[in-house]
Amino acid sequence: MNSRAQHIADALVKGAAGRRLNPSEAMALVDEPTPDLLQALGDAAHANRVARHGNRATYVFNVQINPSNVCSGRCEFCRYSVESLDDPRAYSLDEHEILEKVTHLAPTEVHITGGLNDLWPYERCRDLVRELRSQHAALHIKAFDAVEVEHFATASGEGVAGILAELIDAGVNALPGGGAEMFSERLRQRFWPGKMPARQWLAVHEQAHRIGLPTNATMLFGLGDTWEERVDHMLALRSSQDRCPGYECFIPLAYQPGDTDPVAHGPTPFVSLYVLALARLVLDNIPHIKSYWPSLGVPAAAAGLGYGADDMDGTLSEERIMHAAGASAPGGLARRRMAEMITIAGFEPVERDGLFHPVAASRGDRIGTRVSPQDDSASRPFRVSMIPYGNMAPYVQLGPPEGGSFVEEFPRASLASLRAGSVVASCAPVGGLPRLRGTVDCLGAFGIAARGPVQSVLLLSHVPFDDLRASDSVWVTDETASSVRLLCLLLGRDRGSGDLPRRAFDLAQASAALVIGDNAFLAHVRDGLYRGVRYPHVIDLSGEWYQRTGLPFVFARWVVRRDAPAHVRESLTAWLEQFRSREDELVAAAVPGEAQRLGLPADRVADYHAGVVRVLGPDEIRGQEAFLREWRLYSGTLAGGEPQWIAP
Amino acid sequence: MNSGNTSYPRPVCGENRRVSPDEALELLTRVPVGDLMRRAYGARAERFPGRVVTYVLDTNPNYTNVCVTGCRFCAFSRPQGHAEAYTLSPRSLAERVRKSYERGATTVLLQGGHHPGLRLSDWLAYVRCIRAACPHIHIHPFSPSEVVFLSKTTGAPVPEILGALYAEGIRTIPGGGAEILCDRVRARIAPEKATAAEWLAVAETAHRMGFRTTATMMFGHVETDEEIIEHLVRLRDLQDRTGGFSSFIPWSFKPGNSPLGKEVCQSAHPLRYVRVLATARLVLDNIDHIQSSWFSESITAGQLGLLAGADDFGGILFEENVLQQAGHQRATTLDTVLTVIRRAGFVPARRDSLYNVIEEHDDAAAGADVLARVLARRTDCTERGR
Repeated sequence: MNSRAQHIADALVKGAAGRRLNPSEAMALVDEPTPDLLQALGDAAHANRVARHGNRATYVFNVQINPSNVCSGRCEFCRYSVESLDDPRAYSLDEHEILEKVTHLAPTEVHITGGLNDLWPYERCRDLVRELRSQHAALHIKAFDAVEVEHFATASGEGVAGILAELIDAGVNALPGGGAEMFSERLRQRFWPGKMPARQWLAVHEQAHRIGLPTNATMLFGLGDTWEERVDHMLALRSSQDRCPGYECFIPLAYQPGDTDPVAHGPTPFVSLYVLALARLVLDNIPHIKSYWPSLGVPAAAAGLGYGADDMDGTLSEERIMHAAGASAPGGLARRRMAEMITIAGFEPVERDGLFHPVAASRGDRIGTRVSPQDDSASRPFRVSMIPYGNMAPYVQLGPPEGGSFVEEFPRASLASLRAGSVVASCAPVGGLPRLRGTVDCLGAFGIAARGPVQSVLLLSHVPFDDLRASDSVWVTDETASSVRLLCLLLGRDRGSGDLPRRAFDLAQASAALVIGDNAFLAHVRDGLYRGVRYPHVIDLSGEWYQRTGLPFVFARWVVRRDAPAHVRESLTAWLEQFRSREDELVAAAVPGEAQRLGLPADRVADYHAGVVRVLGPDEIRGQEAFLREWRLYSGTLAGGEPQWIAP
Repeated sequence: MNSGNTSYPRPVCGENRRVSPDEALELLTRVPVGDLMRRAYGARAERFPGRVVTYVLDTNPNYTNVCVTGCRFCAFSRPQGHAEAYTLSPRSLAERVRKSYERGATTVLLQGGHHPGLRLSDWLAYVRCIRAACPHIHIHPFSPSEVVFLSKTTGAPVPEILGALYAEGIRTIPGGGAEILCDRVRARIAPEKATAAEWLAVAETAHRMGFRTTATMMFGHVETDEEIIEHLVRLRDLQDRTGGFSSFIPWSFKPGNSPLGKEVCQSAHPLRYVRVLATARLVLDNIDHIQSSWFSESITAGQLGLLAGADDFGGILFEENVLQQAGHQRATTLDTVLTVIRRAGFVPARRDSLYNVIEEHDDAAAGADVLARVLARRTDCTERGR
């Protein structure tokens, strides 16, 4: 073995044992980075990590709050910030929104950081912390990085020490590690000339440590920095920790190139894993190394647990900063998925608190082990009933919610399943909801509705609609629960009950057929051809309803059983929100497959989907209420309370 | 430049002892990912020291999308008579291949649906027409499942079909149709397709005749961990007998627009891909090459695969129908692949279909340079009358 290789081998032995590497040894590790050397580094870093943390990998249920993206900093690489509220991408949250979100999600930790601006001046920030603390005694508040603290200090005229003391008083538990970027003077001049110099960043952190505030430290790499600069950055942190200990966790962040070519400039696992391993070996005095998945991407971050990292960042809700720069990692990972990922990586997932202690076992709910009829084993997915019609295809594109699985059922069958508890949630026919009152809650305002013709709820008739009489009969598909009631209502309102057509059980004998879903849509496309019979009159029931009432018709609503466990509701709520924000994209993605399945041109199918309303607005809700009210009135006039047509 | 013959302390892998099925299961599911990757990387480095990752310039036309086998994971096939059904004539196919060849493709991976009306003579016509249009392209056609289907449809025994191909100069056959080599899984995802035993029998016959074939695996649907291991062990056992597999290529099932996709709604975690690949490298101690795919997975997963035992990055496709139809889109250029390999820490090298390295590329070589050299070599060959 030549002397250079020996030097490296010796350094790795030291590093694996947790002993300090001198600067020359640290630099030797990056002299010529290759995959071979990465693996050797990873091996040593992993040994070091196991000695400290065993096989555990921690994650924390945290919520990231970025109060506003208006920022005077204007750092070169940042795609998150805007100059003023006039920018269309600008936003500024208010206390109410922030507090409500924290109350609703009840996280272990909040991470508050954002832009430097006048909308959220120091006092407002401090008071936000006070309010959070007063409402949540145990919440770990990790708020305001060194850049923000310095900004507050300057703006208020108090010193950094004074600001920090007040923030501690208000309830801050720790400082996040942002704003460090790369300490190298060369890069600071190039990219962040106005930003606080490295020594000042370190000074703020040391000041925080002195008065008992633990902090984190970051490093932004991948924007033209050299390996030597990365090692220097780590050595500077190590020295700072020696002078004034208090850093809890080091977080390497990969530069996100945004619109520029991610293949050529984005994070790559080779570099990310190398940085993690290097960090574990060099930072002998910093306890934790974090794999930050919004920056490194999920697969590399998970692999990173085997290259020195012991913490995966928390289950972020609405991480905005990395995503503004085009990070393609998913915006929020449910805790369950985090634990699964850590398990797939071969480690033991441990949920922790803000101080890196395992969350107390007594908080059973938090860890998701509560037993319920729907979920008596943490690994069994909860069941969500899915109507197998084309109008639900965009949901299939999205895939099931975290921890859930789809069960295909026709609309009427899903009501029975909901009642029996064999599914926990469904996009249930509105017509069946009154019978489910008390058993289910609506999940936000999502479902299937249409304003005007929907093309997939049709009465196919040999006889004009207005001429249907007692001598006629109507065949009704077994699948429906809403549409049949709608048909009754439309037929019955203007006629006496003695004049209603009968229900036919033999399609061949019937004067009309009520058809829904894909069969209906195809019949519509084929001008009334259904099961070999051409019906001259094609009556769109949603269109009829709209003509009479001027309101949309809601066919189905997403509902969840009232006794569903909290984590199931959380997952479903997040899933529907995801759907809301991606609806257009999911519909567009579903169209080609649907077109192929139905054997129709794509634009015809796209046109159909354009008429389906899935995210319900006030008009849709009014339409739903009007229907249920009308139905209640109408069915009250019938003997037995239900028309003969409605099967139990 | 670092030759890669490093003497840094490296994790020991295998200790010259074969990985048992129980150990394989442990590797697949429990060993911490870093250890697994490093062990697999070590196995790769023992076989192929250095930083080279190979790729091949190929084109993947499909001669027909008519198929009666109805695999539940496929959104590519069409019934005969369907508006979108097609079967290429030998001339059209050869024309497509020629176009790709002129852009630089050195090999053609030719596959298609199981068309009940096609005969061995049609297969041979395809091969001959391609030969006539591009005498120097390497033809890498069909697959064990297509061979089984042709044999059942026409009554021609498998050795006869393979013998006819051999006589036409074919020397390699792709490993398509393997999916998971367990009949329980096959019954659920592709009940009409060749059984595991039938697939393996074709591969074995082909190897004994002198063909080299690849082996594949599609995971991430209804299979169990044990079944993945069983698949690998069955390949290893056959390789012990014949030595004819040149490489192993796993990929994850993409739900998308297929019947199975509606049942299995979430694709396998990318880390699972890395684990499968690394486990394959360690179990398949008798198969030279393990292919990681950025095309079928993601760039990050593909790059992680190179750190987890893979030594090859597959084909730079000039055309690819099957994955696109199932809702999975990728743009593919040679420059992208070269960049991806380099940024993963490796040195890209162009190979042929027998996995011989044709040329290693230095840092400066761009896609256009590589293709220019490919085309220049041909002119040289033509001028020398080859």
